[in-house]
Amino acid sequence: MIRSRAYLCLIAVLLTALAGLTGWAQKTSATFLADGLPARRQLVSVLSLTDLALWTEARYTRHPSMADLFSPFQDHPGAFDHFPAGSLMAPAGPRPETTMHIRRVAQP
Amino acid sequence: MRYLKILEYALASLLRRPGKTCAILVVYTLMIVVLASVLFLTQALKTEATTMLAGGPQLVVQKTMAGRHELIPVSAVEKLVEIPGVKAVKPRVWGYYYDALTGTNYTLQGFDTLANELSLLNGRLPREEGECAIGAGVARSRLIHLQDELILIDYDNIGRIFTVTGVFVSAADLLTQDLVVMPEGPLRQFFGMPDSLATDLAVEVYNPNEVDTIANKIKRSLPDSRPITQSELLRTYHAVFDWRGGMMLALFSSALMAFCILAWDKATGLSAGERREIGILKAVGWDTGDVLLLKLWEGLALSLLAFLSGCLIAFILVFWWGTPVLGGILRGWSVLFPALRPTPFIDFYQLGTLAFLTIIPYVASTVIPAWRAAVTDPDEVMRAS
Amino acid sequence: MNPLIRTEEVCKTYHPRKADATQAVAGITMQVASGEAVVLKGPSGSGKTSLLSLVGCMTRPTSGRVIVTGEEVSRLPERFLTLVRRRTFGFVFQQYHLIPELSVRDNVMLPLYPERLSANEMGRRVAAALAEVELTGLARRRVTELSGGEQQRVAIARALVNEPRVLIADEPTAHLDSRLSTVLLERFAALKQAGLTLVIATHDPQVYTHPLVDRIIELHDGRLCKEGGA
Ligand SMILES: Nc1ncnc2c1ncn2[C@@H]1O[C@H](COP(=O)(O)OP(=O)(O)O)[C@@H](O)[C@H]1O
Ligand SMILES: [Mg+2]
Repeated sequence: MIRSRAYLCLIAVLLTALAGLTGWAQKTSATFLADGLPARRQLVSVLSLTDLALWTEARYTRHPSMADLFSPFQDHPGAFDHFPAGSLMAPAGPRPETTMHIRRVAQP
Repeated sequence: MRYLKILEYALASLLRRPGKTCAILVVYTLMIVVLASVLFLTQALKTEATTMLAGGPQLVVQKTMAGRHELIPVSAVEKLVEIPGVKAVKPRVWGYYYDALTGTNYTLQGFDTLANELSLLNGRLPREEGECAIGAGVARSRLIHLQDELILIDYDNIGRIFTVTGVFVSAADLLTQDLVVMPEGPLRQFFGMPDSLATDLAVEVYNPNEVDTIANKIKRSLPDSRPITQSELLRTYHAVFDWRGGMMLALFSSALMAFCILAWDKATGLSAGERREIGILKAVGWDTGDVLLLKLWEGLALSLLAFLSGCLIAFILVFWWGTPVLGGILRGWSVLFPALRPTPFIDFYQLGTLAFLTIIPYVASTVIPAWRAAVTDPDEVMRAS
Repeated sequence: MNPLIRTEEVCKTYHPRKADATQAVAGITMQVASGEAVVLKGPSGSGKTSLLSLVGCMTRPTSGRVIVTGEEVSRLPERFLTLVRRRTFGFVFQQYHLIPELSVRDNVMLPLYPERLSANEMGRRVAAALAEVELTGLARRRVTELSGGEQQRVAIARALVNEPRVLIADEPTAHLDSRLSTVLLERFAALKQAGLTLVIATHDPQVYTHPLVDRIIELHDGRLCKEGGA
């Protein structure tokens, strides 16, 4: 019975460690939501930021949600053009939610 | 008791082939590490991005001409504020700057000087011409600090000197690392952008639930515009990270295939030795149920260990070590690297799915092939070796 | 007196519906009383092994009945058949069939796993069985490191560990020289003395002429051709 006991102990240790880390994660994310987030939201709102500074190399990756002069798929904010194979998958999310009624004759 | 004893035997029989068991354990754990890292990282970034960016403009209106983005006339503001439900409209001035010196792109962001100070800024916000605040990434790449000078070349090829009045803390890198912030007026001068034009318009509404209706009205009153609602913007981030995660998984799929082949190899046949062992066990009085329990334990013992340690390693890798290798793949290439220390938002539903999709197939591939050998009469062992 | 084991017109046909159907046991009626030592004798291929596996609940007869301790086992569900096999019989196979990578101790322990026993009780029984065959010193050895005779003793210990009523041995002397055979038969005699019932299949004269044997059942082509005292 030595092996099964050792194994179950190991599993228990791993579970405890995972539970501990998860608890830590919950606490950290709660702290972030309580303390870190308001400051960041203030930053975002004061500078009126719309995007993350994750991909700074190209305009259309720096602001994926904004259209740009050189962006190939600018009418679709959900379409990514990291490389041409971006068309491999249909972009997720709905089309822009604005619709337009088109007039046949210009109104005076 | 019986379960424990059969677990004991299952462990003994796994240890009988230490090489094979270790190899499977390593491959299995590695697979879980990669899958769980991708899940952890994308989930954390998604949550962080969407919660932070929810503080930004509710609606951004761009002008398009010939299907492309154009600078929008500031006069459009008057048209927009008349739309019922619109609280305020603010022209935004921002743009890009390629710094040939360091080969880096900066984002130049104008802002309203009336704004109050920011807690995530060391120093203060710039107030007048010749001042700027910069992101930590810019400071790093240019080797400058607070009160140093930043030289940028304007639209007319004239070098301009800005005093750094503030540097954003690196904890906010995800938002600010490549920013050069200055008041709107000086930024217009720098870009050579006339006062009558703006990059786009940020619209504030009274009732967030009405954003879509208002976007529709804007589209009607300014037919050449393109309103972008915040929900579209946040969805973009969900989609971007899903897509990045998917790409990563696609790269990783070869390893996944190798694992499938391994499971397939196990599933398609027992070795003669294993079949003989099952026969012996049945002959000395093990029930079919006992044999299947043994196989269940064998599969479960291995996959549980691999899953738990994989998750643990992934967790430590992503949230404590800054995702050494995978982060690079997931984020793509970049000259400015924000330290990837995401806040640990964990989605247990996803983890459960991962557990389900890895443990069940593996256990099934150990138990099912043993089934046929376990239900046949053991008299085969009475003869032939 | 009720016999411990009884077969009535028992038949076993392998691959009954195919062209190569073989009738290994063709209607044998016999019985074994408790405490008896019975030898199944006959040339190779005469059906000794098949009859042993029928008697030992390893497989079910094609027709006929096998009755163990008054219960008809041929129609019991698999779970109970396994139980009878485990509690009533101990097997020493012709090829021993030990699990090579395990130690002597672990091999002997195999029949105990499905029982409701504590770890201590399991250890105690294994130690007793090993002492019975004088292998206590080799308990931690791997079985592949043992000689043929020692491996057979491990197999006997494994057969005895569940404290069965019947020991079934198939050609026990096939891989032994005559000196080791004598030792083995002495051991069997001692077990019989202790009250164990023995059913041995063999074609070795050294076995069926041994004084421990009470009765010889002679088989030929799956049929009983002669039965009588030794
Ligand atoms: N699994 C099997 N399938 C087909 N024929 C078998 C099988 N097992 C035994 N036989 C046949 O049954 C007959 C009796 O075999 P067996 O009982 O092993 O005899 P013995 O033990 O006396 O040598 C033999 O002709 C053998 O070929
Ligand atoms: Mg035989």
